[in-house]
Amino acid sequence: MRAMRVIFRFTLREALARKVVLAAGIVGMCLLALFALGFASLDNAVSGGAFEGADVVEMRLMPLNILTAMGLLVVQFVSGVLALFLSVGTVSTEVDQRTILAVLARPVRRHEWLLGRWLGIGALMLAYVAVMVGGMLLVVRGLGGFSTAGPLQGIVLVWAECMVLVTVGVLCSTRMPALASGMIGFSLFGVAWVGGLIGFIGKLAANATMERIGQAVRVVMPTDGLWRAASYNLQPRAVLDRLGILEDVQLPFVSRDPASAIFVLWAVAWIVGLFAVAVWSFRTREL
Amino acid sequence: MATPMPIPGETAPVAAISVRGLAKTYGPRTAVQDVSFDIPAGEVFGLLGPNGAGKTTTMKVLVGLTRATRGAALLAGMPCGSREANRLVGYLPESFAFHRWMTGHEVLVFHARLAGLAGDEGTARAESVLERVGLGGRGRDKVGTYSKGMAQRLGIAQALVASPRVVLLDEPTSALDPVGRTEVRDLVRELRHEGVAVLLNSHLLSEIERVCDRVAIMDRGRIVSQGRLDELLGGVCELSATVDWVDDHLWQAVMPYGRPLSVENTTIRLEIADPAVAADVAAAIIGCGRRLFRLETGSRSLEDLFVQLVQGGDR
Repeated sequence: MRAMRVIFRFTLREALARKVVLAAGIVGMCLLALFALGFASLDNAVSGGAFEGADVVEMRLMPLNILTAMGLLVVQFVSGVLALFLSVGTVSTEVDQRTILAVLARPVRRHEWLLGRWLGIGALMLAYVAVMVGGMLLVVRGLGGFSTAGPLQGIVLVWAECMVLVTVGVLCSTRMPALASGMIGFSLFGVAWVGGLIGFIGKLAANATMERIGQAVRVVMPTDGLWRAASYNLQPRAVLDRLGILEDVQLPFVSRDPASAIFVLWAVAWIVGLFAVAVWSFRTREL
Repeated sequence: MATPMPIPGETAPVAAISVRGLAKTYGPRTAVQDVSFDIPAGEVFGLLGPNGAGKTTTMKVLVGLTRATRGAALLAGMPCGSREANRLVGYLPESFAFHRWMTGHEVLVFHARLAGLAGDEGTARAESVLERVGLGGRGRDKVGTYSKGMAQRLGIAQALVASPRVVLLDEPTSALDPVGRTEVRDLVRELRHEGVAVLLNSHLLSEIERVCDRVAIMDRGRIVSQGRLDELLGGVCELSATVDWVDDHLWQAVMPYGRPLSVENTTIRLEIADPAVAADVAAAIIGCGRRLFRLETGSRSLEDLFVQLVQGGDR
């Protein structure tokens, strides 16, 4: 535990010293500012009668909801990429640079190194996701007056999505160079996204095969499923209420249904299981 | 928790480092084969050998970075690689590298914390070893700004930061200038005086010769010779004679006095058992009608022994 704490703090300090936090903070603030500007402009346009002749409530809700959903989609995408960037060098870069040799010659078990790094990256990702998602929700509430269904649950689910990717990155890093690990992680991220899209279209088209493909991909790589679960919690409550009336309205990248507890538990078990594989992989690696 | 383990069949005091029948294979390739040695506290033990001889692999097994395929390696009686054994070790890997975003002081505090030195104790140790390796004024600078020599000094400081009982140094002076090498030699002698067991792996034979109490020479994964330096080099001298002309007649005249080693231009070298035969060799040369310009005797060097042992096989 002591060594793990040292490595956890080391990971946070490394992120600060290597300006990861600074860069993510500046770019994140720019993204939030752009979102706020767009949201305010759209809200003004909608309130000023930009969509005449349509249902007033629907025409205010839907564009703002689409903008919010797309904004959050970008945030979860950037968070996922950041999670991969931070995790793919956990072992491989340290081995390539030979910095790990002196560290593991200390009374430090390999799982402590992995766990300390994983938790450190996890803390950074939690902070990033909380600031970015929380910032967007504050904009939505402050400018639009909308409250969301479950902001905390949403933030936790986006973070869990990031931790899936962090765990993939850590596992690949125990055996592969950072570049290869990044490619694998990013590809899996994309595969899950496409799988989610197939499942969504299958649901619209009432195609059982496509729905099953979507579900299978969600089980194998739960990132998109976690995002969709998060998106339900992050949408304005008024939109969800409205969508409850409009049965035929579906949005491709967000969900109008809450996540099942079984899926969330599966995602947690998935992360724990994959991390256990990473520990085994690192322990059996010759340095 | 690991407890001290006796080596089967032995009752001697527990050595700081004890290696028995160590072997390591990577697939079909054998890196280390049947390596055995003991290093008591307060001894400097040199590990010599050409590239790929298995020296670094042996060190990596001792700190648990690599698992032995066969054999046993104990540090102060603890199984190597165990948490307890690693508490006792300071290790400088070959081509040691640091996290360049840290300062030298931060690197040492980080390693002190990993070794279990909490709070002020770790900070104080970091400052103390920085001074010891001559980096006292540069501890607050980023490692990325260090020269190769400074980085190597920091690596040595890192190995010493937790006051280890066993120190493993893999090529500790490869990036140092002559002054730095002298300082490291002095440091190793100080460690010996403090009762620390030092395993030194170096390509620099002169360094081994000057600082080590005992030496093992490795080749192709095996120890081909080991012992005290005076034992390994003792009893054998070398004679060198420069004459006006070298031919078979001359060789026939001098061969009864020693084993021919080499001839370069008009200088012949013989391995002789006793320096007193030098007079006989001189007489034999003159008896052949040759003119003798120079005649020297001296002890065989570690380099000669090393070359003989390492080239002697079917490489």
